[in-house]
Amino acid sequence: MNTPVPAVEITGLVKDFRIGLRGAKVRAVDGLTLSIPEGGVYGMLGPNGCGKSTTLKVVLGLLRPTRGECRVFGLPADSPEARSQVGFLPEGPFFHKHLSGREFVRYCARLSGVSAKASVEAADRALALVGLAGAADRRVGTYSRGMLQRLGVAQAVAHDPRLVILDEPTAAVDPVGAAAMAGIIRDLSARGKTVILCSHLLGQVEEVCDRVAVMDRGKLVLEGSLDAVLTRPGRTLLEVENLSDAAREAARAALAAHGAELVGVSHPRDSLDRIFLDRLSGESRHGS
Amino acid sequence: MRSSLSRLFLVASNTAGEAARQRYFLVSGLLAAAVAALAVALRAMDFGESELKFTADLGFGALFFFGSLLAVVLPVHLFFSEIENRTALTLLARPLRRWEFLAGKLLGVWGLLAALVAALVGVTFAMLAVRHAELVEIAREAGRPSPVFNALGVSLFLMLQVVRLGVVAAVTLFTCTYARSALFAYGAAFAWLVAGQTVWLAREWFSVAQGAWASGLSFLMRAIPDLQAFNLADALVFPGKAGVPVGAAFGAIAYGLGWMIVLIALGSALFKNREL
Repeated sequence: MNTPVPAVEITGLVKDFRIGLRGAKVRAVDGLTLSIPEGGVYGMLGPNGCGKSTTLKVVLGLLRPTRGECRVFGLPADSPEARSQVGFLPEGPFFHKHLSGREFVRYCARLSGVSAKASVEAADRALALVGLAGAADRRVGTYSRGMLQRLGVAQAVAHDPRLVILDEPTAAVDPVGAAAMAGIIRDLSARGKTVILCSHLLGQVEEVCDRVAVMDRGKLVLEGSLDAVLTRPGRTLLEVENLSDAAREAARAALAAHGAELVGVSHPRDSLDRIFLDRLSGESRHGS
Repeated sequence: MRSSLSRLFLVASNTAGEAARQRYFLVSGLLAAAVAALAVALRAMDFGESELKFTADLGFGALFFFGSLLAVVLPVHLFFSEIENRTALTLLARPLRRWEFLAGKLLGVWGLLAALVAALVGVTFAMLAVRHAELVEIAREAGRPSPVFNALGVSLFLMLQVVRLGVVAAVTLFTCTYARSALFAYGAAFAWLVAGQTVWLAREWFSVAQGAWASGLSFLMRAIPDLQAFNLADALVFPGKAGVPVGAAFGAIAYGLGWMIVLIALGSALFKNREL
């Protein structure tokens, strides 16, 4: 049986930068080994300067590793063949203001090898996916921050790549835009794409990711499926409706009889994001 | 190769579109055309062939000044706006090779500069043609020999200037590939421009100087494109009995195209290793 080729395979990656006049060496990534399976949403977490963006740039073929290797779907990351299978949304995107949204997405699709004829349909499909069909003919210079982020996703997916890399897709975007982005990510995952999400919004990562990696000072400090990472081994959560004091004590006694211990009782809470979005009118909720 | 050319032309067309929308490009173009059209003021006077030469000098001088300025400013602005706004990341994360990106930028800027040269040479040619017809009439009535200018020479001059500005834009983009800031790139590109205009003086001086150091420096001077090689305006437009120096003009065009290819190849090698 053939072993499935990972979407991204990084082996012993080291990346050093030279800074200042004396060329002092700064190690941004230190011996990273990581395998991202095809399909699902993969979260990359870590504080500023932990090496996430540098790692992503190596995956995109924009930076050369000092040591180690990076392969995308089994191909060297810097090869045009690998790059044609990747879509990328950079952090804080800023696109060519003189083009309309449709022209820009078509331009990007064509650079990724989509024919002139097919690029029209590809651009319209990508713009519809991110909810920008109505603004497709407006100049990019007139787009709001949230619209630019969505346009960034449209250009990243227009050529139908297998791997989509989103670097801080909700930075400086309001909760409505962030919720819309989460919906787009889930949609991409449902279409079978592999999505790598780099974000500081841990709530969003928890909501949409299947697996996560946490980096610190250039090293991988935690990696695994979200369930495995978040689950406290040996503990179980029961959610009960109408629990009276007497019923609680009876439950405590019943559990104790089986060698288990009730360690806490609390009320489940909604997230502020959810409450905020529920209270908005339909129009505001879908963003503009 | 076909898809490579297709990507290159896509970048070129986007670059030209972006460049054409820059206000400074439009203002410079209009100013240059206004300077070239100033020759209208000379119509009150009649100083024969000298007037045609003055008209040509005015138009070609405006082209030289504003064309050179734009051939430096446009590439630096467009290159660094892609780097600083990180649009370069969006583009280069695709199967777009760095040489395609760089050559596309050059082609886009060059195409626009060629349109500017064509427009300004067109204005100057129109001024020359109209005044020439009037001066021929005046000379005939006065029994003087008619002033002459050569239309073929004007078209060759146009081609030469397109190539000259292409070389300046290529030098500028080459500078951008190693410059870390737009300010440095502007400074270095203008230094290249001045060096290119004056290198012939240094070469002449070193060629008559004695010693190995002079030979060495003379050889080093060959690493600077000689922009004076394109300065054939008088010989082309007012050739006199010697005729239009077609061979020299095509030689200069080949020299310029050669430099453009070398500069983009060197620039691509540097840009390939640049960490974005």
